[in-house]
Amino acid sequence: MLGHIPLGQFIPGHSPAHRLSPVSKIVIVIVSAVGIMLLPGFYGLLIAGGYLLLMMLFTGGTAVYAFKGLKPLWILIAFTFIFQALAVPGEPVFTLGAFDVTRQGLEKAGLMTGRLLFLVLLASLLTLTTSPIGLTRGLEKLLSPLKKFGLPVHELAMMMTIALRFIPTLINEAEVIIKAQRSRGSDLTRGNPVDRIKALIPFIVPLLAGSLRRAEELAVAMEARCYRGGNNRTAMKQMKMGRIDFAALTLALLFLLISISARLAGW
Amino acid sequence: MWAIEVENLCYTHSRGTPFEKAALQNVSVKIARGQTAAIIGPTGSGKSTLVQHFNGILAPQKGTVKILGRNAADKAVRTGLWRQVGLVFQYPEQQLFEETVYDDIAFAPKNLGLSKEEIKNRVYRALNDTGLPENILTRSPLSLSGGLKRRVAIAGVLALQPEILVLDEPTAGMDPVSKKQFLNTLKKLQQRNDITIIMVTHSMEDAARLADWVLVLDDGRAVLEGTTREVFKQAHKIISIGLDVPVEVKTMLKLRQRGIPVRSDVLGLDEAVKEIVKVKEQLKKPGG
Ligand SMILES: Nc1ncnc2c1ncn2[C@@H]1O[C@H](COP(=O)(O)OP(=O)(O)OP(=O)(O)O)[C@@H](O)[C@H]1O
Ligand SMILES: [Mg+2]
Repeated sequence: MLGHIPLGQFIPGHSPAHRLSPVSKIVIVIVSAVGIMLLPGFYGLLIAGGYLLLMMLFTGGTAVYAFKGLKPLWILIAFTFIFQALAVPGEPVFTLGAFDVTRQGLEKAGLMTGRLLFLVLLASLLTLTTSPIGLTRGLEKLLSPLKKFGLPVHELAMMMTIALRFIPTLINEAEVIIKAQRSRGSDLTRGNPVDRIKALIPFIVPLLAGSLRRAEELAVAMEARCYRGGNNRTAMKQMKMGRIDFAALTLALLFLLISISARLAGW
Repeated sequence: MWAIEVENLCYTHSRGTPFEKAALQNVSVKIARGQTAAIIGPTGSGKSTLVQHFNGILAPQKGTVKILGRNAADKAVRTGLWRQVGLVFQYPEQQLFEETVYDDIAFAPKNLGLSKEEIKNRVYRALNDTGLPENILTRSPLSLSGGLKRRVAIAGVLALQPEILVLDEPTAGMDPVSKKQFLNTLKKLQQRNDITIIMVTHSMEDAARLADWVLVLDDGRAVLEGTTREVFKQAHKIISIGLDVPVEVKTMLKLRQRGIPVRSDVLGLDEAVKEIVKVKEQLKKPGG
């Protein structure tokens, strides 16, 4: 029912991409995203595509799921393309009802959709190869300089970790509750809109009750282990930068450099 | 006539993803109407997956499932099955949601579209069957203790008055007294009408007390099937897949190990005692 893999679900593995420190992966993704946005023109798209392909080679096959996860996005992508194709004035290629589809429009649409696609793929490569916990730890580390300005970085990261940790649990619980209520004849497809909204109550109340119970249990468990916030906490698994981190970061910076030069050169 | 006919059923959870898990592999089983069947197996053996095919919650991926003679491959059949097949889920207490216990038990009969009068009758009967006191009806189900919640949830399915009642580990986590009470409830239900009861359990003891027919699952496959006595004859096989057998069966097996020729397929303590006494008498006789 809810069994398909959502876009960017973490898939455990041992590929170089999995072994990179989350910190460097986040930096690489940001740097590469800027690079993709900067690269101009058709050749720029080609280079970005090649660069992404290179990255995917280091994910040990996990990248396949980035493409599988795209399926639900095709409407968004198609919409971007059509909107761009119709919105740009210029030399008409053919007409579609009241609209002229122009050469410039098609070019622009192709570029925009290409970039959008690449950015989505890039982001899902990060989440496919990084556990949610690793991701928040990485973010926490990257944002830690902001602590000086009073931002509760550790607490925010902890909240995110807990939220991410409980999403699969909640999905499982929702699945069970949906099955149980359907077994008692719950039907969401019957009656007028008010009836249909009312029909949601049997699903929402137990789910809410369950989450509250879980939250309470978790709070007690954390207190029992003397958890008290961020100061002076150390991590069990230290995130160390290794040689592959520097190699990957260098590659990403190189890509950014190329995009900046291409943009400045006005391709 | 068969209540349940399953043939070569296969089911894989999360099919087509790296998390896929074959939960059922070529399972075949037939359960006759009016019988009480137990499905036993260690944790993760596919018991819940199998029984969720019985009321149309899961669609068969491979093989056929026929419920009361109708093929569950047909979506229209599946969506209507909840009317004839009541399924009590594992840990059913999390499905409670109404403001009062009465409304929660009445939820399924209401969905059946019954009259107010009939709904009320059914709620009271379900309450009686599960041994709940009437003063509980006005309380909020969410405020009850775990054990009471469980019973209210079971009453909510009994109120469907289904032809086939499926219970997924209804006694998990119950204290011995409640468990005994509950099994007696099922016994009464068994006698009263032409109901088919299917109970999923870890416990051979419960199976021995209640079931006419036992299916043993291990790692998604049916490894043993037959009348309760037939299955108990193969106690060693049940032990080898990591399940416990009742203490009287264990005793008999130990006695056999010591060379005393008692039967090991005894159902219940009384039978065990009779068998031991009988064998003892035989051994006393000269030349016996
Ligand atoms: N929704 C699901 N998604 C993925 N795998 C699942 C799902 N539900 C069950 N499984 C897997 O299928 C297998 C069989 O599960 P099932 O719940 O049917 O076992 P069970 O015999 O009922 O176990 P238990 O005694 O613990 O309730 C298990 O390995 C389980 O991990
Ligand atoms: Mg189960």
